[in-house]
Amino acid sequence: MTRLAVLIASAAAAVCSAQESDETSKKSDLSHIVWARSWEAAVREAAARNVPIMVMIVSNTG
Amino acid sequence: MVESSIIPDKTLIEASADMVAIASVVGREHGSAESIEDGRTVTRCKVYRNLTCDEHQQTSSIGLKFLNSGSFSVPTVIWCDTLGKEMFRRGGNYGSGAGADQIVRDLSRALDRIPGERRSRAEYETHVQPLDEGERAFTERRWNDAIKMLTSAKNGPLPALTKAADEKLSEIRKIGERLLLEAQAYLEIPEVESARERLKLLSEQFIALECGRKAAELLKSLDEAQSKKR
Ligand SMILES: [Zn+2]
Repeated sequence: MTRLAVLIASAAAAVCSAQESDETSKKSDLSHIVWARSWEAAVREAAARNVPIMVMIVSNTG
Repeated sequence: MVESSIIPDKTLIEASADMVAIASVVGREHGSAESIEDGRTVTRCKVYRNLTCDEHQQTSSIGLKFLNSGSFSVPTVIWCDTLGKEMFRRGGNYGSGAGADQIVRDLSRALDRIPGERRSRAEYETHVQPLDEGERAFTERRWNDAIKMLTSAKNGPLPALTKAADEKLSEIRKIGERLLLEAQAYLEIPEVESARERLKLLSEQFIALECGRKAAELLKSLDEAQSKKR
């Protein structure tokens, strides 16, 4: 392959993988609720995104 | 009931794009399963699907922040504002099947109490990644990496994260400026090797900042002066 052909091929691959990851993230957004890993992480995200925090207490707490 | 009828509910899942969810749950009898993330096979909890069961054990005591009596309804859902302060709660009143709908209605009530522009999770994740990496590099004293990642985070779209990145960058700038002052003081004494040690660190690790560039110039003139002497 010429240098140009390599460049075009890698650009096409980059576009392709960007589309794939876009679709994956859309799918994963819709396939389940995303749960925060810590209270600090939850508050940081809520403040940055300007959205509420839902604390779901499901069982007796440790 | 929560695990089988509320959490997997499609409408709730869709609505959950506009909130941050956190679970206070003990136990792992519900089991785990393999799933694919970024093309890799990983083990995740069957109910809290982006977490491992170990991870949701770690958030299991969060309920204690909000519950002061020994008994409470299960589930209890507590809605907090963007600072983590409780706005309102609902306990137990989730009839079978209707539970998820009630949570979606409560979410829209919670959103009503938080005016202003919302940002998507995708936007947040893209922005928070360089901030996290920058903060990790800062802790590990990899200054070059920290400056690079934090500068990128500083130019991101979410004001709260931009501010956090900017504050961390200021801390680095202060560290660099102090090193430069120390180096200049050592040059006056003169204790050239101690000065050189700091100038070298600055010119290697802080070169993206003014203090790093100044250090590089000083180091260069120091080298020239010493080679003339020889
Ligand atoms: Zn689990």
